[in-house]
Amino acid sequence: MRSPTFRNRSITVLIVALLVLALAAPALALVSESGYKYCNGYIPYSRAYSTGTTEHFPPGSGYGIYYNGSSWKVTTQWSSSGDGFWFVQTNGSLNDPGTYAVCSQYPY
Amino acid sequence: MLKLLRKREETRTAVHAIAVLTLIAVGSLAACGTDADPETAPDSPLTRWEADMERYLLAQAACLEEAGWVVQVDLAGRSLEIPDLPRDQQSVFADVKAGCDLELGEPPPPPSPDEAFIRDFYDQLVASKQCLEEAGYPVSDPPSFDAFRESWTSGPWSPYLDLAGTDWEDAIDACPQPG
Repeated sequence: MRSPTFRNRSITVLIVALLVLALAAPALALVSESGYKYCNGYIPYSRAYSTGTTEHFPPGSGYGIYYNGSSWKVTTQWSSSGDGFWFVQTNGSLNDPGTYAVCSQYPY
Repeated sequence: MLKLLRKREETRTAVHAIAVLTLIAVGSLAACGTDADPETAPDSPLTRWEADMERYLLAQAACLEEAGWVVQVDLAGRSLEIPDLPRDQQSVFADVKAGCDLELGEPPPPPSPDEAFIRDFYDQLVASKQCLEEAGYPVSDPPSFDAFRESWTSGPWSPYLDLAGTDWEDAIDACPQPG
């Protein structure tokens, strides 16, 4: 037989969990694109065409976060060293052809 | 009688939990607002959001700097960068940022884009096209406003999509991106 205190705590935890989930739901709806880009000594960058809070991890190193709000914006994030895996995500919308990583013509 | 008391206690606990969460939510919303100064009060949801975002961005930068990261803030571009974040530090950074996000709460929600917002945005992009071409960057022609509006949810036309990364900084300096 469970005590009233245990039941009260359970109810409280349940309500808190449901409310937190309800409040956090929009923030969990993330969309992303990623890939690998090897540039043989040339500086790469990632680019996104998106709305919402957009985060860039360009190939190699570096980080940028862009608060686009409701507007569609092109954002570009240069790598500061290296190449390889890149990742872009937003809690808004992400345009597929407008989101990619590129090797520039500039050598490191 | 004991059942009734338990039921009351459960109800009281539930009401207490809801009240606390409501206060937190109201407090968060109030924190997103502005200190009302009638002379400088923003007059539209968009300008109010922009002002709130500026405060949020500065607070976020301060939180990350306090944790030891070197942060670059661009208020006009509403962005924050850590240019030298090494690959092997990304998960450490993600944990720190998650802590800052918890401390600061969600960024202020932007106003929903209505017809007037999309029209105004279209007009600004058409002006940007002219600006970019005058600055020496050839870009594509705009579609009709109807076609632009129809493609809003998937990603409408933008002259900034035509810019190469190597031209990016100079072009944006000459013709800032709207929005």
